[in-house]
Amino acid sequence: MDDTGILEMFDRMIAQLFDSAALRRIEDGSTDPDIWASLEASGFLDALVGESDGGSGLSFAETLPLFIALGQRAVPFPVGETIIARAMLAQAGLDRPSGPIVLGIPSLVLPGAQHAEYVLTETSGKVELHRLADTKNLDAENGAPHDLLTNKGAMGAEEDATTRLATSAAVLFAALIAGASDNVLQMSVDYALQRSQFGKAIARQQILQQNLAVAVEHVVEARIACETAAHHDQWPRLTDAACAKVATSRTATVVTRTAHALHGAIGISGEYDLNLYTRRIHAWRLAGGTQSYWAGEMGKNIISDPRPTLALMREEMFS
Amino acid sequence: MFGSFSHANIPQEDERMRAKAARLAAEVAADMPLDLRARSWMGFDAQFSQKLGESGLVGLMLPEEYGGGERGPFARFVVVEELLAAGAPVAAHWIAERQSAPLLLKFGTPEQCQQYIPGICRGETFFCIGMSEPDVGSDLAGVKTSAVPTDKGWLLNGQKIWTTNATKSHYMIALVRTSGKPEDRHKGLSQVLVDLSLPGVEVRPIRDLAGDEHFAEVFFDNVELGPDALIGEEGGGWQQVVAELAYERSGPERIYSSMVLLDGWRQHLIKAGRTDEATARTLGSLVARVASLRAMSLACTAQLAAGESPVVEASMVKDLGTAYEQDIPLIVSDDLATHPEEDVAPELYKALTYLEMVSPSFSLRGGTREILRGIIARGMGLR
Repeated sequence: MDDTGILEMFDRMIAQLFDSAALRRIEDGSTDPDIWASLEASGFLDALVGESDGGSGLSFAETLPLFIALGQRAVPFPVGETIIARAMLAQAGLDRPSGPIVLGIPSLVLPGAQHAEYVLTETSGKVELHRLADTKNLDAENGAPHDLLTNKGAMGAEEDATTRLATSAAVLFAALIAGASDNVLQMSVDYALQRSQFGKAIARQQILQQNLAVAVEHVVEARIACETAAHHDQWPRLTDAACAKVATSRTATVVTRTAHALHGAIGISGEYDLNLYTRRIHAWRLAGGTQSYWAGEMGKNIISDPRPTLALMREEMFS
Repeated sequence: MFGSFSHANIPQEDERMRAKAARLAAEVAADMPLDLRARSWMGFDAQFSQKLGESGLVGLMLPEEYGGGERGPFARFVVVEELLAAGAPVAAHWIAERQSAPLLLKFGTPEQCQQYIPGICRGETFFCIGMSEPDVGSDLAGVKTSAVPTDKGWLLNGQKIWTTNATKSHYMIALVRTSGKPEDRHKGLSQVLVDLSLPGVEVRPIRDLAGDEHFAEVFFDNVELGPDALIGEEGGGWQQVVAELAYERSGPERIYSSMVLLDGWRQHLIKAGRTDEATARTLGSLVARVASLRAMSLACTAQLAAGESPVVEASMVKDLGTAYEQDIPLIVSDDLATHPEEDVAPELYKALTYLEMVSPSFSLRGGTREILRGIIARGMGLR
């Protein structure tokens, strides 16, 4: 099957599993256990696992559209994280137990951790899977397992932006932002065309057109930055992660502000679906570090590099 | 949204153009102080343009029949990014290659193409564009300069203003009224090719805010043009100008105007031995931003290469790209002013102040932000 076929199949599946009603049930704490079982049965969780290990053998670049689709559907489970973790387990020759896995990176929040059974850590290039004993401690709203996961002694998580775990998690969170932002912008455009004030659709107002034009620039930049960050055959590198997270963190801010400003009071109501997406965009922006963290990590790496900027970025990010 | 606007790699055969362009750019830049290199787009160096022409680096997208390279947009992208990033002076051949030659190809006669395009490809024939007039800037339908038909061709009278490189160009392609009245707006406008050495043409340079004289006023007093001065159809000038502006707007190169300053600042950091966290963050952010802009430019180039006309996508690149170009002098000056203990090379400071003054023009040339965002909004189905 070609790439578009795979993406369509995947998107159809998650659209069914995670419709608005299901998302709200999950947020209320009444998760249907069949959802994860369906995801496992689909085989998509082994998308990045090599064919010799029984996976689909997709490259990181080929998997990126799936990550973006997960963002577009505001999927609250750590599906992308599990896809990455299972591939790393397979590469290390380790077993891949069933159940959701989060990536054990130092992070203010780990979205989806309240639904996870395992956490994968990486220390000196070696990955290890740990059972998350008591997920009830986790904040159900944003899944902030701060103590649990950033306690290096307990988990062995390295505070190192160059680990495969950290860089792939960053590109994943960036892709989730890119996907959700695209959807939030589409909701805003639809709303602007349909909402009438003073006798005409608000989309006819020039100032609003200009604001939406700026928002789409950032939404498109976010997606293309992710595509470029993911285009290598191997795991993303530090510079890839930084490029993706810097772009998408900015996009997160621009698109959530623009969308909420445009929707007015209805967008603030809990019942309206906009918040399902904007809430996750905020969490994915923080997860694994925002633009400041990644800009700092990349800056440290290149501050003494004598290459002109064009040569440097061509060789580090586009080769 | 805009899903077909997506990541693209430069084909190997186009990547091979890079070494030659980089070498020529480095050669010419070696003798230029940083503040002169910061003028890249405005840097007029006829010798350098000719050298590029001899090396086959001008007219890469123009047909071989007229001396061009007949390569695609990726080859041009590679050459252009090397020239701009190094701050090589590209102004002399820039407009002729990017706008005038494609316009002649699309609307001109084979004779006109044969007469002008080979010189453009050799980097010897320079053009300027006569659009704006006093009181007529973006509202081009109001042009008053007229070319009246005579027995021998056309009689040209009127005035153009803000014409970039008019003092040093050989020809102007001007939008003029050839029939009807000013009230007819865009009906009755045509494009004519004016040899600027003809009697009756007077070019007066205008000094800009940085002390440079790259643009000018051009006066036409009973200038006699031949019948072959008309480009395309009489009365078709408006459609032709719209097409011409699309060449300018769909270029993917609108991200590099301040690269020379970014590189100069990076060298300063190395010399000053700075490695602190705050500086690293500022630097990382600037490099990450230009990387995603380059990714967008390449995506746009791929659309051009596929024969599309990515006006909406190019407007996105240009709006974000010029904001980045304008941010660099602000961010670098903020950084240097935070470190008064460091010695700043005079040429770095001069490049900085030059770009601070001139950078507002980055989002004027080729369409203002407001115009671009209007184009994007139309592309989104909002208008």
